[in-house]
Amino acid sequence: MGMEFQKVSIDQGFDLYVAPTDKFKTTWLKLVLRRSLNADEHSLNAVLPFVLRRGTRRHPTARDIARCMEELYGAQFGADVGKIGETQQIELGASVADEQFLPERIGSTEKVVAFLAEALLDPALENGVFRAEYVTQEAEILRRRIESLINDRRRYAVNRLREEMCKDEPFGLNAYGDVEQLRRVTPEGLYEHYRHVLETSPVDMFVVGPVDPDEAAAMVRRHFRLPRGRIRQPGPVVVRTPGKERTVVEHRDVQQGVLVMGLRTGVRYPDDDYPALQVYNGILGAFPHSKLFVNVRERASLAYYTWSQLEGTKGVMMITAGIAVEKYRQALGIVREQLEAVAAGDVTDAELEQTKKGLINALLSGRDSPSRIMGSRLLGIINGRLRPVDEHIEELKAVTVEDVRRVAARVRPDTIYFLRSPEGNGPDAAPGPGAVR
Amino acid sequence: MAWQKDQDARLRDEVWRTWLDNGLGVFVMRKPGFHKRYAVFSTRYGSIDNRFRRHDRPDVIEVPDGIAHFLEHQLFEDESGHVFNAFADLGASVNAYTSHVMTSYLFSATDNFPQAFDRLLDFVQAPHFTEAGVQKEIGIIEQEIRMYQDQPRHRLWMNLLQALYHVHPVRIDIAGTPESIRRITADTLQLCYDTFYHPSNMAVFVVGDVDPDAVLQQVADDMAGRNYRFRPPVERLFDPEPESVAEARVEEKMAAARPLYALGFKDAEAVRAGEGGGEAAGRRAALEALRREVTASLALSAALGRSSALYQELYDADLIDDGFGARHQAGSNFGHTVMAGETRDPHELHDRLTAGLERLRRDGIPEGEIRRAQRQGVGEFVQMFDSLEFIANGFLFYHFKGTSLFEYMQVLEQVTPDEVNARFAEHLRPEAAAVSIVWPKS
Repeated sequence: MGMEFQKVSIDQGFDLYVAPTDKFKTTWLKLVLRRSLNADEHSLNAVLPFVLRRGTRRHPTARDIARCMEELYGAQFGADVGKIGETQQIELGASVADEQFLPERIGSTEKVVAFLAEALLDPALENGVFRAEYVTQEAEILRRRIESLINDRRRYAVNRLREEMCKDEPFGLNAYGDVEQLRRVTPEGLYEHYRHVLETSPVDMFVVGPVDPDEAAAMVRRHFRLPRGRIRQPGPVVVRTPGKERTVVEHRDVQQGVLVMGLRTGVRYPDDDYPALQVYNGILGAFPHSKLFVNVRERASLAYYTWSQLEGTKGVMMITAGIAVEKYRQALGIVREQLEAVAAGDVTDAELEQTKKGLINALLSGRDSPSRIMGSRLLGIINGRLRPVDEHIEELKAVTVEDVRRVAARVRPDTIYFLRSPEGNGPDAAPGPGAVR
Repeated sequence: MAWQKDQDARLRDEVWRTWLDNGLGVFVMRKPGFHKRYAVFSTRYGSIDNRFRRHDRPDVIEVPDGIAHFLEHQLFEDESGHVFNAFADLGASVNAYTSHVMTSYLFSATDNFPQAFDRLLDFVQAPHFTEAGVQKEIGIIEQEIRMYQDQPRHRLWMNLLQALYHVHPVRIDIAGTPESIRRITADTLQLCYDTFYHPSNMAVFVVGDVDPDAVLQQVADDMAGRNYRFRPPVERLFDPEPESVAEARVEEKMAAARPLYALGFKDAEAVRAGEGGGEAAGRRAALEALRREVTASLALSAALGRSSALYQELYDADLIDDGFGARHQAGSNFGHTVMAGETRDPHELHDRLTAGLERLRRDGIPEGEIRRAQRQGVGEFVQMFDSLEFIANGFLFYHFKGTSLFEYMQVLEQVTPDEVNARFAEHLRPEAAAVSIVWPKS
């Protein structure tokens, strides 16, 4: 049933993963450079892919690049930065329609591979470093992007919770950098960092689509000459046990309050108990049949959305709900009741089975999505443990209520964050000690 | 119930379609190798259908804003418990959405497809409206409305539609307002349901590794037990919408990081096409509308896409970023183009953007740029066919407009640069424009 990756070692610390399949009409490519997430370099790592996207020696402006992609029948080229646990990824990606579906054959797949190499290895330079205009502008755009998080109240609240809860841990850093550090990025400094990143980062390239693995490997070998030095694998994540629960309240001019609770799970992706943690999270809040949805939304009519989500690499769970400010205590009370219910093993057979089936359905559906196929392999690489879909399904099937209780006992609330308007009868300082903004 | 098969030579995908005696459209596309099977059951009933006349009553019926969306929520209530549970038991993931012009119920499943499909067919056709259910839903939907009200982009967009239209209900939020939804009752929901959830106004699309004959049999068996009677189409009523914009500029302040700017153009031809009641006047009108849509999208892509001189100018001047985009949208009696994004200076962006558009209107978009946009469009279209969600929802969307997603691609390849330029000049007239700005509240 599989779409399995074939792994080809291209160079020291440079692996190619190809999943050949005829079911897609598109070939998807992704290049990932992995870095340790830390405050010394995360802002530089963040700007880098966006500057690389601005121009190459042969295509010096973004317009030249866009034109080149459009000529290849609307090939898509993108750059981004990501964060999984305490790894920061610098990513360049592309997708291109396979030629058998296009009006003419122009070698578009190889051209896209060649272009990715060009974008990574042959950037537009002036005076031997990145173009000052591109660096200044892209750093500024990132700064705004961070400031604009408030435009999406839920994402803003979740991000603020993460910052508060993991203040002294790399996980609290924003993958898009720090607004103050971004002001100070220079073309010289960034270029020096770029050379260092090329030499020391583990690099993974993923290809999914109607391609032959040997041909793909040959293309990559033809076009990529990565400078390789001493490769540094990102280190393990910081694991903390929570102390006393903290509450943080922030006032903004908003119509709806956003409640976020951050918890430490004790169990992480590489652990044997991770599938049990997923089932725990599913029973609690990952689905419309979950306890949070049923009790906060359907029974109490307090929210339109209420979910729990895992960040398994770090070992963190977050619960969110968009509520009226004056319903804060009631909503928080219901959330706590649900946490206690799962911990007490108050789980019906239907809840357990529905959750397992839902998780299995999501895993299998992931095989129809190129980005999820690539993403789950990357997750495995970063965690040092691959979970092939078939094995993962068997692990999920074997989870019992007792397993759920065992992992629930390790889950501990750490921080509560509430975004609210100044008006209304909600709590200013909700119960409990801690910073109040 | 014989199948008609439409194949697209380029995509090598095939849509099988047929109609049941009760008027229901049934569509299937096979996608071998996919694990997921995806089914959508849609009705051509959206937020704009808030005034209508039925064949069996002389009066004009006017219903509260947001009722189509409210009804969508309420179909998830049934007598035995919650519809979500029925799908969860099968490991299927169910959802629904309401737009201006249609409401869709959908699920995806990697296992138990026939059982889940039965449940989809059943819950959409078995409403269970009660006053208690309505009261419960008001609290939930009010929070949904407030969530959207808190999004600067949503406010920017709604304000723009209110500036563009005088009376057309596309200017009203799909979910209604906290006040309007309080006027909804179980009886009104039932009336809307009976009016718009008739098979002759609905269609089903299934895509994935499925057997089309088995799908059709299942739908036919389901319908056989339901005694639908023939019914003339409902008359959807709209006040005449002037071609002019209602207001040239709307501004608002709210908690936002930076100013947001949107420039909209009312599509006079689309508005005019709907004159005389708003019903699409047959196949020819539908094809003309499709051509208007394709030429407008191509014009925007050529004039303002990533590779355009104007986009590059605005980006280099630090007036737009990646989030800036332009798109055209049209129904049977409304249509508009919106260009929007965050900006450091809405006034400067407005001046340079409108000047650039005027220049292109006067000189014409270079032919090469239009050809490139066509090439890009074809390739992007091919790429979208890897998404089952795009296929099913896209086909239903164009089906209700009287055309087909395949025809979109064919027209995209056929149109000439002259047509695109003529459309650009006719549609993006300065007097058809309105501006919406959201300023950060300090």
